Amino acid sequence: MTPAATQTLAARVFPRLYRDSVTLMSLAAALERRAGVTRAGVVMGTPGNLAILERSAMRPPDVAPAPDDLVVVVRGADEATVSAALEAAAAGLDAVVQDSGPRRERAPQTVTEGLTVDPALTLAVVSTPGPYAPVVVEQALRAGLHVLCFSDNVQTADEVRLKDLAAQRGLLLMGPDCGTAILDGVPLGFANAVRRGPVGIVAASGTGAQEVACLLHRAGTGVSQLVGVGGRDLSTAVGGTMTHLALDLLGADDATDVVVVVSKPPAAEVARRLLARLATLGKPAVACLLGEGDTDGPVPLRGTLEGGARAAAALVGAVLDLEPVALPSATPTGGVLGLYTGGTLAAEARVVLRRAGVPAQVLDLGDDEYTVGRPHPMIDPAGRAAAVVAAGDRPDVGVLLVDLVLGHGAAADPTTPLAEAAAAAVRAARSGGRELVVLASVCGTDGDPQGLASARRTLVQAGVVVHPSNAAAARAAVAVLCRSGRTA
Amino acid sequence: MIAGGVRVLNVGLPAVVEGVAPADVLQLDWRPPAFGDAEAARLALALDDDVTQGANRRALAAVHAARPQLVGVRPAREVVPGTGDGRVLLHAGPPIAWERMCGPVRGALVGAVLLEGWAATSQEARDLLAGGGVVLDPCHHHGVVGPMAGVLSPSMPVLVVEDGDRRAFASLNEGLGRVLRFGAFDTDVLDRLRWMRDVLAPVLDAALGEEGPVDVTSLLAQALTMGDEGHNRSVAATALLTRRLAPAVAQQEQGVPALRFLAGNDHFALNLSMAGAKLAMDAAVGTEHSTLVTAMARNGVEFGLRVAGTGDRWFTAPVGAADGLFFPGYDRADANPDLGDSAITETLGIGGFAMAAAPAITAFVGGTPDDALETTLSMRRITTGPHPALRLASLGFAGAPSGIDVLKVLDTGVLPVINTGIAHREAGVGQIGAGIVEAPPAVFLQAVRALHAARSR
Amino acid sequence: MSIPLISDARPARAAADAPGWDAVLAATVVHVGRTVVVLRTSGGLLVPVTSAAHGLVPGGVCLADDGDLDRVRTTPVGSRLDRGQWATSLRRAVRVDLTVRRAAVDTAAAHALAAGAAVPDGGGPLDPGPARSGGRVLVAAAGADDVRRVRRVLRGLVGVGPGSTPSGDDVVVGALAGLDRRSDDAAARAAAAIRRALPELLDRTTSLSQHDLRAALEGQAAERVHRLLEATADVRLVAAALREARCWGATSGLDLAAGVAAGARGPGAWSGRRTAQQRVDLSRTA
Repeated sequence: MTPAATQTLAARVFPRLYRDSVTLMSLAAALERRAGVTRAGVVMGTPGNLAILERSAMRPPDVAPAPDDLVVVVRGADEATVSAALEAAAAGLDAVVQDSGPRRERAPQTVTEGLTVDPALTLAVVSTPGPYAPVVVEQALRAGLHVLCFSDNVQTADEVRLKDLAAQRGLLLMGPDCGTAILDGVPLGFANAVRRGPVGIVAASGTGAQEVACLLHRAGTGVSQLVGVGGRDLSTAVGGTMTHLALDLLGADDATDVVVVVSKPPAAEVARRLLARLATLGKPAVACLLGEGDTDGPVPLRGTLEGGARAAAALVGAVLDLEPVALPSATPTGGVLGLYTGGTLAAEARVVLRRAGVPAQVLDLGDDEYTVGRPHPMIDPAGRAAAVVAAGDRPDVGVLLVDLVLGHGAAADPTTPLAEAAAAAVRAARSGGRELVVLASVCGTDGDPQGLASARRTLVQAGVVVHPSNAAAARAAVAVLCRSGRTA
Repeated sequence: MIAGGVRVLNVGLPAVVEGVAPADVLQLDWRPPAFGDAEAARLALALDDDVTQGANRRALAAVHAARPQLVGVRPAREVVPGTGDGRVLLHAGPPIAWERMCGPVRGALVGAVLLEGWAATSQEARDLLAGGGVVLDPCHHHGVVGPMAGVLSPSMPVLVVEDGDRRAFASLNEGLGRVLRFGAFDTDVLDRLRWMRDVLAPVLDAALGEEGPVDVTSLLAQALTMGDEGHNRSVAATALLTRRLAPAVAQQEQGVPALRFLAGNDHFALNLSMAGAKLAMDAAVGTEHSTLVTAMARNGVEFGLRVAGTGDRWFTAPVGAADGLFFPGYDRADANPDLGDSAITETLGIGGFAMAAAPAITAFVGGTPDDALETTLSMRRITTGPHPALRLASLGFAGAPSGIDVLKVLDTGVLPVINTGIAHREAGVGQIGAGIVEAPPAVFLQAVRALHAARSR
Repeated sequence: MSIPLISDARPARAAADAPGWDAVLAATVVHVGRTVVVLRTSGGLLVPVTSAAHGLVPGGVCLADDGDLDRVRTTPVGSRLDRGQWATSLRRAVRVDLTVRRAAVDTAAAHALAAGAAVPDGGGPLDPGPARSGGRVLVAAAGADDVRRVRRVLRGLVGVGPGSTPSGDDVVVGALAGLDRRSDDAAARAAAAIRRALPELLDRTTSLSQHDLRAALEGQAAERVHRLLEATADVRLVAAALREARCWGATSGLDLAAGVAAGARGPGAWSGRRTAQQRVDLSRTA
């Protein structure tokens, strides 16, 4: 048994409340059956009973009831257990009045009703239509829940207000428009089955965080926590409220040795504060700010996801070793078209191509522009597949650059539609007398439900050249064009 | 990192949490709040704080502390404020002008003019009413509640219910068939009203003098355990009341006819439960910041809602016809839009809210006793607390769900269920069915905006 | 014209010391329990309203029909009874004297009662077991007229145990009734010793228990205590009395039985240290 000293003892006094002894004794018994509760007492607050509680170390010092007051005392493993038991006791005493007879099972419909059904909930995941999301998020925060807000279309003013509310209460508000998180090993939203390990990730970008996590997994290390904060968190308006709270939590998290922040480049002032915070975190940190130059200071700064992952791996003594992939023999005449489902992956491809001075068109098909009235292409691969097929008919396209995101939340089989579309595009180009090279990377791990190895195999069989990282695929695009003599 | 472990409340798409162990996920059957009005949902959430909750607790405590006593049966002009002089007629529901009134209410007003002798013929009566020769005012503005048309004239007797220095009133129930409250005003109807005025009322008043007062809450509490729900079924309450008064009534000269009338009218005690509910709900009127509903009433055209924190203000919206069973020969096309002040019973927590008590009438709403339980349980979701005295045997003697909270209606999207009779749209045909009607969402949306404006001032 | 009474309607019964009917009708409900509804008069007196199944208690009213109690239970806490409904039946109520009278005690029956009530209920800091055995200690101390010991024992009993009438109080109530039942002077002296020490300890327990203890100080006891007292005169009644007692609240009935048995066996029963042989004899009588 846990020694009494490390346990929590708390009481609640119900003034002038009488209940029959049968009720009180069955209530005490019910409380003692709760997990984590060591001892419970439900008695009238007479001096005699208080003395007994005192002798059995069951009287909290601050409790001084009158003889006609009902006292509920609970000793248990921790404060949450004890306060939940006291709440249950209050509900049990009240239930004498508001008891129910036969009841049909009905799923709770509101946040309040959900918490009534299960008071031990800790995190709300919100994916309602955007206009209602602020209401649900606020209800959850008021109820003391951390929140992951998957919903988008939330006004910036609401985001600022709700993040301030969350920060005041020490609660995480991940999002709005937060697609991914891994908290204490539990994947939420779009998340890959990555090994648990020493690297904590704070991400203002969904697929960017997934790519970094998968590359760390590939380097043989793993992820302690992945906290998404929403794409706007490091904007001037929001000011990084959640990034800073997440850094505080990772700083205090025993499982985290190294921290990576993944984001598009924030405004100068926000970036300055972020780097200053990372420098004083007390743990080694990497700032992976897409498109920035790679520099080594007290906090290494990297402009690509791959670079960020490699730097973080190095800080925990791991090596990100990406096997080279042979260039295809073709020498296409057209330019580079990127058709992406992951927004940050598209951004990283642009960075690599821009650094090489290769002009290219890289589209994020998950952008609002393309998703009006249809699901995100990571959930429904048909839209992107159609765009890939259509690219086969474009004489100006010689290199097609694509991503494939696996993991929880993604489509059950995103691979087949892409493989079939790529093969069709290549055939169409060939019948038009042109060469088309399709370059891809797969963001995923061998543990993902869709299977990394089989996804790669399917793509390769369809004639797609599969690279070990998105940056590597983009570099290959650069190389193919260089060989064709088409770089600037 | 997450104290207590990651235990997820999922609001929205199940796919988002497919990576979480099912045992650690509670999936909500979420619906857009505030009937889809996101702005109203925000206002409701902004109001949902300690100030509002404290106000609601106080308001409901005042409602539950009320102990209405039936003390007498007196002519309206003697006791109902504002009906003592001049030509005043009261009607059910929120305010409405003669021009917009529905058939049954117009018919009842014509009958009342004839009863008072302010006109000799029905045409004269119509002209008088159309010409503004009679002041028309809602019952609720005078502490009165009336079923269906709810028309009350100064000479008509009212049940007088009091609690300390507060009073409420209701007309006497005429029975079923061709009656004034459904808009009939032929000779039989007027003769019955005269008999009720000249014979029944004095007999009951005298009997109450001997056997009274009658504790309305206690009477209703017993009736709920005997299969009444206090609105569409009042047979047990009527029997209990008759039994209480019978020894004294029988000793009156006209006692036997009076008893025969009570024996033939299963709905007599409905008006008593309405008066009791009105007195109880009035205790909450004007509780600052409270979002508790204090009145729901229909005038056959509009549904009216009043809320404690906004005092005497009505929130109104068009009202539809009730959904239910029709007597042979009638259907929904014959039905008048919903009518009457009787929804004051649901406001307190009986009627539709106490369906679990009255399995016998569930057929009226095309349901089973299980549906009745379900209705009461769903009304728990929008009410502030159980009524301490009005208990439901089928729910383990739990208190009836009492005190509708506007904020909970908006959060859950559950509308108050009202049991009601269905009137024919033409004056005087009478009741053609019974069933249930839901309050229109619009009144709650209006209310939350007004409550929010009141808080922001 | 006089209205003939309906012959088969049993009248309500009221304790002789219950307040007048106007006071009862003006009283407010302070507790609605499963077997009792407690009123408080404007003068601060408690009036426990029970029904036949539970029996009349001191200062209280016992309704003839269990259904009547259900109707009373619909009165919310803080309200008054429905005057119109209850006035008539209360006026017709028969007053009953609940004073405990001296009568013969059968030693074997008292032992059997004690043994039946001593069955342990199963551990925990608020187990009524110790309080029940405290009845014996209280009577012994009172028999020795050891004022300080009586006071000390009472402090360990009054207000101790679960429920709105803590177990220890029930034991004290039972012990006083048991002593009052006996006709010997030693018992009378012991009862007097307890009565001297008890008043100053009343504020250590709940209002409901205070009501019962005050009645016990006056020599009054509930009808169910009277049934236990009758069992101390005839061993054949013991089994039935214990069976009934087990149904009174969670522990209350057996607490009272333990107290009654301790009192009825008298202060002489524990004048010396008990031997193992005596303990065996005790269990044999059970």
